[in-house]
Amino acid sequence: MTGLTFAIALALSLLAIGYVLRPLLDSRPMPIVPDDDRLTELLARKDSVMTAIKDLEFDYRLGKLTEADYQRYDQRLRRQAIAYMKQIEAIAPESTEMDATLEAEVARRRKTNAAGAPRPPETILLCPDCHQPIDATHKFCPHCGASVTPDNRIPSTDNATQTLENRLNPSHLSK
Amino acid sequence: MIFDVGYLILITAMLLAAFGVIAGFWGGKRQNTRLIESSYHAVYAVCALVALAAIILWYGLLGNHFELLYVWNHSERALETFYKFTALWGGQAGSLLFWVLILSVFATIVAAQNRIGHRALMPYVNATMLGSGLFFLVLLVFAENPFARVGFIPADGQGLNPLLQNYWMVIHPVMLYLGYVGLAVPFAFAMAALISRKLDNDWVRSVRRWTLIPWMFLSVGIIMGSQWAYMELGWGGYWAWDPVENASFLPWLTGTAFLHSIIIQEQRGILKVWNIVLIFVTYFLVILGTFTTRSGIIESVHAFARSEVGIFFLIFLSLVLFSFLWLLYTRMPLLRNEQQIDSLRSREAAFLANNWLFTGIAFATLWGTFFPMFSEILTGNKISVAAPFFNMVNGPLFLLLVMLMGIGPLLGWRDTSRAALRRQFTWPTLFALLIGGIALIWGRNVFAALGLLVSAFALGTIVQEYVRGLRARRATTGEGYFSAMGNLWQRNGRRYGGYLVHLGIVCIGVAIVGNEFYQQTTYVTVARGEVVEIGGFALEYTGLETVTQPNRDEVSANINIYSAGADGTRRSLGSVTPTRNIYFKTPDMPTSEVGLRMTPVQDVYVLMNGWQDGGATATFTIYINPLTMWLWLGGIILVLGTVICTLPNPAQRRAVIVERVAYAAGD
Repeated sequence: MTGLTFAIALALSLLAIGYVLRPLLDSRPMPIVPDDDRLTELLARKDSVMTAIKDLEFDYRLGKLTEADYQRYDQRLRRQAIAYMKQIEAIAPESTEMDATLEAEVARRRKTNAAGAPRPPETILLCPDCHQPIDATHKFCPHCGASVTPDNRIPSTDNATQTLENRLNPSHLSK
Repeated sequence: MIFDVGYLILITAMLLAAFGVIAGFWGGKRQNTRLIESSYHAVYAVCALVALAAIILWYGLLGNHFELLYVWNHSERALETFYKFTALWGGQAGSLLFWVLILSVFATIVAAQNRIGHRALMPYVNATMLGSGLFFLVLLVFAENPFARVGFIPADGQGLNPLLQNYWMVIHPVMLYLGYVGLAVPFAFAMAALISRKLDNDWVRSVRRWTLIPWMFLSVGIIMGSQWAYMELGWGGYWAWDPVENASFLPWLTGTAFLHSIIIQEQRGILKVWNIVLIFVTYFLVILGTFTTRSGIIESVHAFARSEVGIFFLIFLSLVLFSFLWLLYTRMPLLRNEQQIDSLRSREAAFLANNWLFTGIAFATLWGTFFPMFSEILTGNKISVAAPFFNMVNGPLFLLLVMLMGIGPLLGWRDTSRAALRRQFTWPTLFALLIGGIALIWGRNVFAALGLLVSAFALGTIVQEYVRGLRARRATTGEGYFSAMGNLWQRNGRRYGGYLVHLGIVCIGVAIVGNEFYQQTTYVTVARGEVVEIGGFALEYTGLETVTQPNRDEVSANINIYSAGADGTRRSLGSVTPTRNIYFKTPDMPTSEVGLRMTPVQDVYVLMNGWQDGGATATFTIYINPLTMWLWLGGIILVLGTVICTLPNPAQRRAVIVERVAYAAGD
């Protein structure tokens, strides 16, 4: 091995070592690492329960569950989701508002009424029969099967009436 | 000179990997952000150094630097440039370097993807990934230096193993390595969860794609290896339960079980111990498989790599095993099930049965693979275990598994009522009985009929699920069939992509039944112009042709194929050219290219065993292999299904965005 070889290898090695050790040599104050990932866990659990609610609804539509079983498990899951959402609101109120804002913004950007104009972000459409949230493209309510037309669906502009249970239902976002 | 640089930077990479392991573990334990940040830098730096070392070795291969022992042993001037490039993984040292290169790249991707998220886990993930890399770097530095010298400059190299001068044997190791190494990522997350005691579902959610995609590559690698065996080894089959084949199959079995089982943990919070153990066993089997292939401890047709690395592997495997057992024992209280399995008529119960079946097959395969070694160690006599043992034990278990593949999707979460069971099972069961009955009457083989019956049942389930899913979507939205299908894949990709993967497995199962139970074969010597009939075909040998390539002679026989009608009529179906390659550097190691006519119904497969009197006569082994093409088609369907499973779901994307912003706002 020649001196030049050793010098090249040493230079590359020192470069790599310097890069790895650089954070240790940083004189700035060390940032505080929060040791509580509770919020992340709650958000993830809520997301899992929401997915489970959708899967359960889909399985019901495919005939894998009876009406009684579907209602029983659906209520159980919704209670779980509400409990998680309350815990999330207690830790980080901004996150739930953000969730609703984001969902409303997504809905607003979609074409949602017969005239083609985007509806106001705070407007949710409800089934004329069971009053569950639906999407503007639905021709039949995914909950009760009632026929839905642009004339008979109910727009809800009152956020105060938008209960936690209604916010659980993601179907008003699905196409 | 540059090759000395290559070796020295491997040493640096090894030292930085060791430092990164310590920084990750200590930083995570003390919540020291500087050490944690340093562990990230170690991941990136090791990747850069290993990549540079690989580039230097490629330079040696492509530049014909035969003063390097590795280049001298695995290349030659006349070798095509493509094979010089792929010779990097043609031998022991190069393939170990390739292993750690892929591992470093994956570690870098994981670290970059998780700069913000998973703060509790990532220090330990970095440490575990670097720990795996450290092991292979220790091998390269102390036992298998890819930059070792010959001592003089030879005029030419010894050439690449003729068996490896083949398209499939180039791609097959790459696919296997991507699969093997990729499965180290979910293992790293599992170890991070154990060490940090964060055994909620966070680690499980993180690893879904990192399990699915390596699993896909491993599946493709296994199928490609089978295709190579089918095309090159010339015995009419594609799987011989060879120890090295088993070495790749074992982690596939436990990895598949893990892939399914984590769905249950996400949904119901159960099977936590199963999942931790399954991913550990998968990783352990990956290292064991690499050890089996590399150490030569078990003789097989693949055992072209023998070295001194065995003891290193044994030490590493022991360290990993005892560390895991200690962690599992101390964390067991955190792995209790959150809920229970409510009913045997539930999807959860089906997944649990799935775990047991896969584990059973893996255990039987492991036992059969290592029994000869243990018998030799304990008694001095090596008792070989061949295909009949594996077929007899694993065959019925696979049958049950395919049946479960059909049953599972028909069950609901938590429980399935009798009325729902009747509604779900009727059509697939009727279809299965119809196909099984036809197979029994036509083929007169009970086992084959049983195999086709369960395959038909699984197929019936898949078709029913798709039909009902499309109907459900169209009933709600009024969209067309193509839109509904597209939305099923995008919004329920995990479910409907999974069904496609199952369809791929069904196709593979059908191919196996066809090849195992309905194959016909003959061994014959024919003169020029003579015709031999088999399985409704007439094959005419017309003569030999020799083509000289830079490093070999290709001797090809021309065989015209005709359909042989009962009334003696013949219709031309084309021709095939089985070939023997005789390499100048290794004339005692000729390779074969099979003459193959492939259709969905059956393959005409011709192997040239030899010739006499300059080709006046020639000897052939001819196989008629029904349904074998479905094995390769099944692989393509499996890949398509996996891609669909990994498609991002719009709702999940939104949830991730909200989670990240909320996390930042909450801090």
